[in-house]
Amino acid sequence: MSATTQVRPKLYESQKLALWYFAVAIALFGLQLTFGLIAAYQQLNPNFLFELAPFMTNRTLHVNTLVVWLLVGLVGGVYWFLPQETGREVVGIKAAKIIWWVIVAGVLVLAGIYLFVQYGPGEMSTLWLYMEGREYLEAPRWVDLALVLWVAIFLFNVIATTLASRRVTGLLLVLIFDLVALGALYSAGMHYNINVTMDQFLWWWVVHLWVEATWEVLVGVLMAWSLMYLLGTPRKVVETWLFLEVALVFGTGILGLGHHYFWIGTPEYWLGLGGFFSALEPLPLVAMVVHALYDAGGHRLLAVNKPAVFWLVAQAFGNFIGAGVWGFMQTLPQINMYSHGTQLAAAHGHLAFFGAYLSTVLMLTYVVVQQARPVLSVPLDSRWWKWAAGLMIFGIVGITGAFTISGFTQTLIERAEGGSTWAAFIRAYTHPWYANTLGWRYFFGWIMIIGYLILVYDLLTIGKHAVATVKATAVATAGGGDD
Amino acid sequence: MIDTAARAEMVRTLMLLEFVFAMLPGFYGVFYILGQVLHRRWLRLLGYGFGAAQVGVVLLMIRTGYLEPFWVRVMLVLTLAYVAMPPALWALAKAIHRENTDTLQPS
Amino acid sequence: MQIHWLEVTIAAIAIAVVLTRVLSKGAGWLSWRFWRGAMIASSITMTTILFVLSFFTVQEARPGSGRIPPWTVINHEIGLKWDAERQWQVPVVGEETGFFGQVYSPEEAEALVNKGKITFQARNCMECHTLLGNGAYYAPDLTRAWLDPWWETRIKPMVGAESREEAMMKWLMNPPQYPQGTRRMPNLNLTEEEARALVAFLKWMAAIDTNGFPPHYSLTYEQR
Repeated sequence: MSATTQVRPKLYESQKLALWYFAVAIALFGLQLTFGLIAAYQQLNPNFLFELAPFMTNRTLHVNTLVVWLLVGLVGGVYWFLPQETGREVVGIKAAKIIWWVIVAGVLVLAGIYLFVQYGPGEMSTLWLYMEGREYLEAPRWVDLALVLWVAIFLFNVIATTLASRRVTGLLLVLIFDLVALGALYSAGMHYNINVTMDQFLWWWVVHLWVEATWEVLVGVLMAWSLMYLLGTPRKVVETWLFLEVALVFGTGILGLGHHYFWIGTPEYWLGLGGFFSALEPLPLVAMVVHALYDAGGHRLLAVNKPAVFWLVAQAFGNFIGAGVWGFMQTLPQINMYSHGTQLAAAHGHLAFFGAYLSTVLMLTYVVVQQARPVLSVPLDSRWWKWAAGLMIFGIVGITGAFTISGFTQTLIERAEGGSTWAAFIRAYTHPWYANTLGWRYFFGWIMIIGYLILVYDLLTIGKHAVATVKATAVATAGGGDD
Repeated sequence: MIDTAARAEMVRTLMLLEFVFAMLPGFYGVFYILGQVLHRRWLRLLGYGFGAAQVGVVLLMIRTGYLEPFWVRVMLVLTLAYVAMPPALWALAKAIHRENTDTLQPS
Repeated sequence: MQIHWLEVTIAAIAIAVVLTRVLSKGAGWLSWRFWRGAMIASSITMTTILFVLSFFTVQEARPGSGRIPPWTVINHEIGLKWDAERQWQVPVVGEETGFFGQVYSPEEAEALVNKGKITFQARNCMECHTLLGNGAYYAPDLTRAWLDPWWETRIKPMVGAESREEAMMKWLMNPPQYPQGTRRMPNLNLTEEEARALVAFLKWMAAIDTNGFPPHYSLTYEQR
């Protein structure tokens, strides 16, 4: 390999913290896949672990580890780039470190509760202590409060560091406003509401406006930094395009929220608003593809960090196909009336999270891994990252395909023909076109796991040869005198 | 109210067409952009092919008669937007790069 | 207030465009400043519109407002009828028949539904079921569960119940004993009080006007 080496610049404390963020994120990713695999197997064999950990338990852990590891990865990305952007150590890094270990401990306790307590009596205390029981926001209230504290300290780090550096760049401006919105929106998920319509109305403020608005912008910021530091795209271009993306994401995504208000008891004007604005939601995603490829293509994809550039491009496409195409597929009210709440939603969810967020975090992980070694390896490359990426992409495409087929079947049999009853539901999931896809799903789940194991191996070893090379050179030069 | 069989037929037809309708502009965008980045004319032409197919699918969708006149118009507007999107955004990216940078960027 | 989505859409886009022009006055449309203006304009415009619409939605989403039933709906017969103008089914509330053999006052009904909603969350029902179409897709949608014909035709004789509410309560208290289909529901150790409240919550939810979701409820093969 014709890699060149150079001694890496000293890491900031904030970047050392970011390393912990990524380590925990990747570990949680493994847990997410494991629980997903168990849940997939339970669809094939519903008696598996039925008494100990039924589907609901594994599904809770599957979606919660997903949300946590992606958020941890994104926040880690900010801790990584922030000192580079501001040219100084992050202010309040001590508090950031303390809250980080509090969060890690909290996540462990929560996982224990999910696994071994599982649910509680029908009283308010359960919602505070064990289980809030709203999909994605299952975490009890004490965890919510810990998360708010975490986001608050993070926000303080970002704002204080920006102010201390006396240079508010466009990127930092977007980041700060986005984090304020992200934190404020989470508070909408911290109410108990007896009225299930209002409950879901506010629930989507967190779930949709996180995933389809504020997280997308956070990814936009991290992509912008990566394009700048990875590919050397000029700041002015990156910022201008980021503004355009944010204008489009918020311009379409905020009222696109309406597509969750079709059927929950909210007024009919949401049908038109949601249908129209969510049909435009792919627009910012196309914009991201154009930008990423425009700049990556300019360098003929031969950058300093091959896996990172690969995941950057994969992110752009994956976000667009998963979130954009698979979302738009079922977004028109006429179709959505039938397909809402079927396996098609799961197909969209799997591909969108993979494309938009998993790819981003993996890209950031490779950026960080390159810099974390004592000696930089340029370009960063290995045989294994290609296998990991290929297997994981193959796996997710298979899983999405299986979900899509079972989703079509369920929509037709349960909803269009069967009248959506209990009997129709059973008729749908026992139909061969549905039942057979469960096996594929499980198979592709294993492919994901294998991809993941290779990924972990690669992350631990990639770029290490550079260290060895440098040591050898050092020995040689020490013997030969002059450099 | 239409009967169950006709309803199932409608959902099947519309869902399949919308699935294809969503996929085609996706392929169009992907191949068009790849064609531009890699300077491959055939990739770009393939992209245009998918774009044209998308228009065909929308016309097919309208011909089924399942869409109310209002949604027919919405679909037409969306199709126009989708047809214009990749080249327009590409041109915009190019223009913004030229406007905001001094160094040479790819064409 | 009558709100038409097309007017809102056009207004939203128009305001965002005008605001962009104002905020980035004098800047060329490819410039950094122009797009910063566009970003601020679209964020402010869309957020404001969302807040205004949410305000009106909240008015219409109050129990007893028309779309959402009052808590006392649990005392009544509930059904669905075809609305030819809206082209979907709407819930209809019939005569007062009582619930578990008694008529609940508004306060009692609210307390019962509230208990049911808390139980629903505490038992993490949404992690298998969907309600109003949202949840985990592993088990049936519960939006109209109260109206499911299976309670009458299948579960009632199976658990030996007199009424639909009793059948639901008895089934929910030990689902693995009466498996339906190949997927079983675990025994979530519901107390009688919790199960009763859960049934009340499900019955109340069945009377929400959901713009016709789930479509053509319980018009099954058999009725074709």
